[in-house]
Amino acid sequence: MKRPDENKLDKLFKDGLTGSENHVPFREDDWQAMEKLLDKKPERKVIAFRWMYYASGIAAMLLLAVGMFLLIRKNKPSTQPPKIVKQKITPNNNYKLETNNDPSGQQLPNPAASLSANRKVPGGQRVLSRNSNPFLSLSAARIGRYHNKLPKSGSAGITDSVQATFSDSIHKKQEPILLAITKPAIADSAHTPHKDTAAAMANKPMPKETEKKKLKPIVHSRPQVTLSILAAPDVNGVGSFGRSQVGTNFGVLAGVQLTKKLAISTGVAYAIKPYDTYNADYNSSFQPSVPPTNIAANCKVLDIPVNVSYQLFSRGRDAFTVGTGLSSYLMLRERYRFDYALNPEMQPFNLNITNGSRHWFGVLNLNVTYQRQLNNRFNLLVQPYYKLPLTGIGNGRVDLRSAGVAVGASFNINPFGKPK
Amino acid sequence: MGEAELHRLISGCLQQNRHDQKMLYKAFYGFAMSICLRYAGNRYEAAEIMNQGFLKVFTNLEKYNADRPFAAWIGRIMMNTSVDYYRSNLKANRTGELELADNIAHDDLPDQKLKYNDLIDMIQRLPNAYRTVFNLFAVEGYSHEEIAEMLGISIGTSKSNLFKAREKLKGMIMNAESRADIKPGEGDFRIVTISAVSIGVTVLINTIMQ
Repeated sequence: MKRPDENKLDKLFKDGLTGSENHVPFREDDWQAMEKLLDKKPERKVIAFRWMYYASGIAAMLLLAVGMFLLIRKNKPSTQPPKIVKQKITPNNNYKLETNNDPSGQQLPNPAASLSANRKVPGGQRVLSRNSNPFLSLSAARIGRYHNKLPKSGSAGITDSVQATFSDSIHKKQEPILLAITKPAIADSAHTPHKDTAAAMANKPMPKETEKKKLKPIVHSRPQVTLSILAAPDVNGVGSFGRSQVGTNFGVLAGVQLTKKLAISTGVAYAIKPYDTYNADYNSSFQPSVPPTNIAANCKVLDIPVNVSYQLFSRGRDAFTVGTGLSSYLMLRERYRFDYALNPEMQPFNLNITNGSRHWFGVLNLNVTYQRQLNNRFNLLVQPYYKLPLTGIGNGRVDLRSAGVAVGASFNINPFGKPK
Repeated sequence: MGEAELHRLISGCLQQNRHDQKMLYKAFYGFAMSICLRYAGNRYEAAEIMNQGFLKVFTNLEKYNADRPFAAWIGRIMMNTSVDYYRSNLKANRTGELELADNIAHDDLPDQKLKYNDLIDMIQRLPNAYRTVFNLFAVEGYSHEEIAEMLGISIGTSKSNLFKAREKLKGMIMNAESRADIKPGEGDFRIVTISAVSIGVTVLINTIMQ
């Protein structure tokens, strides 16, 4: 720091302005404004880039949710092959056969039996004795795992009597469950002579191609994941669009097709939202006694939407969907200019806030999307949208509405690779 | 305020005691406001800046190093908050590099001492960019290099803004001087003369009309 030169003007001001605290009397109004700030402190306390932690938290939760959903979907097919196999085999009265020889191993009704057979293949009597143990029949996962090994390790060693016992136990214990899964199949199989099926087991192994054919629809029902890039000009206004200003948005969205018609999507969009408002609509904690005639704002916002969409119409390559959801606004940078047009002596006052308020799920999204499929991977999107705040936005807690048309492209991603 | 009392207030503020916060606010209100007033465009802006500054004081009190003067720490926060408030439009007034800032003729300034309120009024009438640089250079004593770094502007812009600030302030002081040159009572004489003439004309018109 340098000493200022001995400029007389500088000295006049320096001497006149420093040590002047006694010239400013205390005002209770200022303390009241201060108290309001202090009361808001926990939510307004700004720590640089904290929003990034929240954004990553949300992203992690969404990933977890999507992951769990996919896992559930992935597990579902594993319970379905028995149904398909049974439907295929039932006409040949092979119910007994499939329970012992099915590679998927899902048909064996009693885990105890499979477990015993796996461990001590020739010990058929032991299997029988454990058949009645209720504790060993709890884990469905184990059924499959242990039973998968059954044909390899011990099918040759299993005596007819053991097989017969299996078939009995199947009919006695498994029938209600199977009925729940595939009624027609069981209806046929209920009258199957079991010993004949044991012979058929050796002669007629399950044809793999047929199994694949049957699996196909299940694979198709896997959720499609799409990645979309959108850009949008929009108009922003407070209360109405009477004094609206044009802003811009850029965003990346990830969507998951839950059913043929229903999808959820989330992502991040960077939005520039300029708007003009009157002082009456601007509810700052500090209320100056000279109200500004106009407030011009420019806000940089991180918009995190979570939307649900429903396909209304689809024909050929074209589809229309309607969507709704909630957006979280994280105010990155807010710039306000307060104009005092009625008081020419007062210059415009600028207020800048960085990493200001955060409005979690504070904005309602409404949109309609037109989608045109370009090829298997890419789709063109045109999406008129409307954003209606459920809470006051920004430093002035304004009713900031946005309406625009987003244009972009979406890219289909299959998380499991191409269906086989 | 004594050191012991100050430390007690700081301890209370650290525990979010609202009464102690008010006492500390009140104790440094005048000092903080005197800084913000010369950086702000008007009193209301100054109060808003000061409260933002005090919010930083209250939320960062644990970072205060008790070995250094508390007033200096608060003063620094107020100055930084003020500069941050106006940082956005400092670059807008860039007018090229001028080396004339130190060449403003200041010897012809009157020797009279202006009142605090007059000085504040003049400095607040400056555009934000000029006012900020003038404050930092003339009152705080920073060099142009330091100011340029603090505000993110070029050294030339800093010099240019100082030059224009001085030019405008000098004009304001000279105007204030010329207004002060009007002799007391001269204005009163004019009013009396105009009133007498008006009354005379009114009486004359009444006489003619009758």
